[in-house]
Amino acid sequence: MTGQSIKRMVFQTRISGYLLLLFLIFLWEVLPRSGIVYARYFPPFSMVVGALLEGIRSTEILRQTAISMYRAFCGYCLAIIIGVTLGTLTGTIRWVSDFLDITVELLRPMPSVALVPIAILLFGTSNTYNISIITFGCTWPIFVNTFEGTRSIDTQWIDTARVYGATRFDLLRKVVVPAALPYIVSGLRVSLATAIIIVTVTEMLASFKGLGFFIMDTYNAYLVPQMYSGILTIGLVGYGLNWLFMTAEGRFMAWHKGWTAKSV
Amino acid sequence: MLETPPLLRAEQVRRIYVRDGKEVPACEDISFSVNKGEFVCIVGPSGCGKTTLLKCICHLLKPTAGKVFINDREVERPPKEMILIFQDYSRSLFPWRTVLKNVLFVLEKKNLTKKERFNIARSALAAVYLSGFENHYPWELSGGMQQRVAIARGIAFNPDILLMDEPFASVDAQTRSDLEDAILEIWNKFSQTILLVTHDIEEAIYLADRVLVLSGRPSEIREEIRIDLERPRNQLTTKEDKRFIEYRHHIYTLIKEEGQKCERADICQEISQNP
Repeated sequence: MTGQSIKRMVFQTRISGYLLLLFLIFLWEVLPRSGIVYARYFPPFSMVVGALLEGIRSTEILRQTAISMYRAFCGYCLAIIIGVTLGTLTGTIRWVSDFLDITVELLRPMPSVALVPIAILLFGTSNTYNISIITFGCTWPIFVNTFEGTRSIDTQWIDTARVYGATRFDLLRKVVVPAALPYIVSGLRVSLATAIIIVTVTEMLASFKGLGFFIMDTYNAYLVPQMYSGILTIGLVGYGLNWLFMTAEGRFMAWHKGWTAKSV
Repeated sequence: MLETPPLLRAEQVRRIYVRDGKEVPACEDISFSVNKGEFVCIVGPSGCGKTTLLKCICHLLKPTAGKVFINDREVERPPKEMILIFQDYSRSLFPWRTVLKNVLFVLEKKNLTKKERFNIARSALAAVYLSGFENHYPWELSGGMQQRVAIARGIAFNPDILLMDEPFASVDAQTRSDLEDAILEIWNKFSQTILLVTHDIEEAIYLADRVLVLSGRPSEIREEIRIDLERPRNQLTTKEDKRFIEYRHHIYTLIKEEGQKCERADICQEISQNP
């Protein structure tokens, strides 16, 4: 196949994807307006966008988004620090893994939102409450992937570095972590979605700020289009963050894509 | 005239694996020495513990018994005078680093300026004819080129002795003879000392000043053969030389015997394990 026809095909696939999206938005607009669905509970797209624009104009939505993002960001960063550190230690040092194994296996399957009451008892409805649960939920995917990544490193890379006089710290910094990075990154990707979910849920359950709160608040006040605009915002934020992540991954992990494509 | 002490000396090196609670010797009481500037090859039947021996020499594995000396100093951890180049280049080059950065890796511990590092790395790559590939990733190169990167990395480190573990076993025959000539050129140009392990008898004779023939498992030095062939060697004329063919005949016979012993030992072991 020539390069040009590949380009044309990609373009056509893209087009069909956008067409579906347009069609769904069209349905969203038309169904409530034609009375097929109840517009009170399912307002048309244009009304939701109107509410969203109004929310942006009054900075309400922006402020709520900023608060949610702050909480998600803090929890996510803490999870990265804890997950990568513990995962690396567990993956590289035998006694650490023996020591942590049972505890980790017991804690890991616990749904993080089940911890909401405990966190509220401990931290009230402060940011710490949201952040602690986000941290808990996001740590596991990062931890498990880092562990797998550091444990499955080819010993010959280690041997090579040792031959050239690498110290234990050099091994960690220059071989173990870079080699495990593809695994770590896939853990980070999973956790990013988890962070968005948990921040929303914890805010819906017990907060007086943030997008999750905003959705519940407008719901309780029967401000249906505003409620939808909050949901739409979370969707857009999630999409945007994922796009940023993928772009950064494509930039920094290009070697891995090429390498795996070559060795298959 | 005073005889200079050998650069590398192995004394009664032995390595025993414990597998399923049973002791399996990989190599037993191996002693030999390599002088400065020498090219020594070790040949042996496959599976006779050649890789284990090399790893013991540079202390990636601790020998169960025996000692290794470099410049008359006992080796206790991987010494900076010694570099081991592995057979499987794809598993020893770092895929997340470019070719140049793979070479720079070995210079990061040295007390050099950034500019000196780059110059050394560039000239090492030039010595293996890889100028212009600095910014490629290793996996973008052919197998032969990747092994050249591994060799460049070795010479950039500037060790007293290069150990090579079947370095040309994973490439095709044409590339293999090219790499053999490349390593001879480097040996000559940098006055390197090289200890190379191979299962290929012709390769050993073609490259070496001295060939050490290992016995089957547990391996010992069965015979030491001095190769009196003119240098520079040539893929055609050297290999057509009557003496080359005689060496080949002799070593082949030795290894064939040892290989059979190896197989018989395997069968005996299996029978004793599952009577």
